[in-house]
Amino acid sequence: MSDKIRKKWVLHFPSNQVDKPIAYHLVKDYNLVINILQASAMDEKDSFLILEVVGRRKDIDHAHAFLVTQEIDVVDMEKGINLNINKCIHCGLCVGLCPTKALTINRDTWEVSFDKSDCIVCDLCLKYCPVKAIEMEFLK
Amino acid sequence: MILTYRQLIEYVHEHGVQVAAKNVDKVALGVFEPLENVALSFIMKGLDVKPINAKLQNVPLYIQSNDQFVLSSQVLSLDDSLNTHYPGEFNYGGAFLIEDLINQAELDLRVTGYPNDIYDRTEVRRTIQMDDLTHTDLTVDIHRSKAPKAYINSSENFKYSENGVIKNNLLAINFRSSGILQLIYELREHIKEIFFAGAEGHWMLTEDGSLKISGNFRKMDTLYISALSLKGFGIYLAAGLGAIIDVAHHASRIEHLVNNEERAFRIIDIATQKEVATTPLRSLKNAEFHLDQQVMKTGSLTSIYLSERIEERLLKKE
Repeated sequence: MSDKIRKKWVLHFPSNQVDKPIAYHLVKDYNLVINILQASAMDEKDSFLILEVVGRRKDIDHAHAFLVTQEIDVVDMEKGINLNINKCIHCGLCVGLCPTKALTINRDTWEVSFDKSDCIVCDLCLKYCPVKAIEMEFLK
Repeated sequence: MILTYRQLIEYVHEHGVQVAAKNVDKVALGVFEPLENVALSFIMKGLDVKPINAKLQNVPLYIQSNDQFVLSSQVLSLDDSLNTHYPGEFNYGGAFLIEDLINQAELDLRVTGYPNDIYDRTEVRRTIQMDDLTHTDLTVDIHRSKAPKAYINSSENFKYSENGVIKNNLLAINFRSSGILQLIYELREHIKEIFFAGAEGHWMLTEDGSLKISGNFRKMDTLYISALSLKGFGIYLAAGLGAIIDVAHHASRIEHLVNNEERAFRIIDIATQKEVATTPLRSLKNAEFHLDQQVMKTGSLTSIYLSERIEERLLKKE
C-alpha cells in the first residue's frame, strides 16, 4: 500500500472524446482508485473532469500516457485551501479542527485568519465549515 | 455613560463594581451565534387556493391561514438524498431559505389546495421573491437555559453535535455560546432596546417566562444573518442579537454581567454522554483547554468578532 501515490488531474476533453468511458479505463485497465471532484460537459469546447487518482506510480504513468493518446489534455494539479473572508463569520469552529496552526483566531480581535504556509490540506475545515467559507482551489 | 460588554469588563477591572455602578448607565450586549426557535412568518396574497400543503424551494411551510405561512429555520428540504445517510450533509432548509429571501433570490412556491366552493384550484406554482411577501416577521424565542454544554469526544471517531463536529481522541473541545444570549434573557426586565439582525427588535415576556423577540425581516441586514449547515446534525440560523441593558446605580446587575466570564459550562463526553467536569467560560476562550493531562484545541460556533461589531453599532446609535 505504501508504494501508492496520489495525484490530482484536470482532464480537458476534445469534443470527440466526451462520450468515451475514460474513468472506466482508468479503473479497469490501470488499477487506479479514482475520485471525481468536479466535472462539466456543458461546453463542447471545454469539457473537463477534475479527479483524484490513487495507484502505483507505474500505473499512474501508464494511465497518463493512455490519456495523452486519447488526445486528452492532462494537467497536474496541486490542491490548496482558501479562506473566503466574505463568507466567514469568524466562529472559530475550523480553528479547533485544524491540526496545524494554519487556521487561528486572534484572541484580542476574535478574527479568524488563515496562513497557507502552515496548511497540510487535510480538508477537515473544508468538510465542516458551517458556512462553506473554506474553499478548495487548484494550483498548477 | 454607555459601554460595550468588553469595555465594561475592562472598566470594572480598573475601577471596581461600585464606581461602575455610579458612572455606567447602560451596557450594549451583542451576540452572533446559532439560535434555537427561529421562525419567519409572512403573508402571500393572491393565491386563491385553500392550502393543504405548501413548499418553498421544496422546504415545507406551516400553513397558518389561507394566505399566511410560517417557515421554521431548522426544517430541512424534502427528499435530499445527502441527508439520508449518517452523517447527513444538511445543505439546505429553512435557515438557507431565510438567507435566500433576504438576498432577493427567486424561489419556487408550490401550494397544493383542496378544491371547494370558494376556491377550485388544486395547485398553485409560482416564482416569488421577498417583494411578493407582506407582514414578514422574524421571531426568536429565548428560553431559560440550563448550564451550557461543551463537548469532548473520547471515541475513535468524529461525533456530530449542535456544537459542530467534535474531533476524536479528546483532541478538541467545542462550545457554542458566549453566555451573552443568556445574559439578555437573565436581564430581560431591564432591556431598553433590542437589535435583531440589523432591524429594530420588539420584545415581550411570555407567560411561561420566555423572551420573544421579533423584527421586521424586510429591514434586516445580510451581514447579521447566516445559515449554518452542521454536518451530521442539522441546520441552524445564526443571527445577530443585541440589547441595551439599563444598569445605572445597580451594582448587582454590573456584577452579574461581569460574572458571565465565570459562567459554568458542563463538559460532556459525547462518546459516553456523561458529564466529566464543569469549567468557566473564560477557560474555553483560550486557544487550548487542559483537562487532566489532556491538552485540547478549543472551537466554537459563536462569533465573538461579529458580536462585538453589534455592540459597537448599538453604541454608535446611542
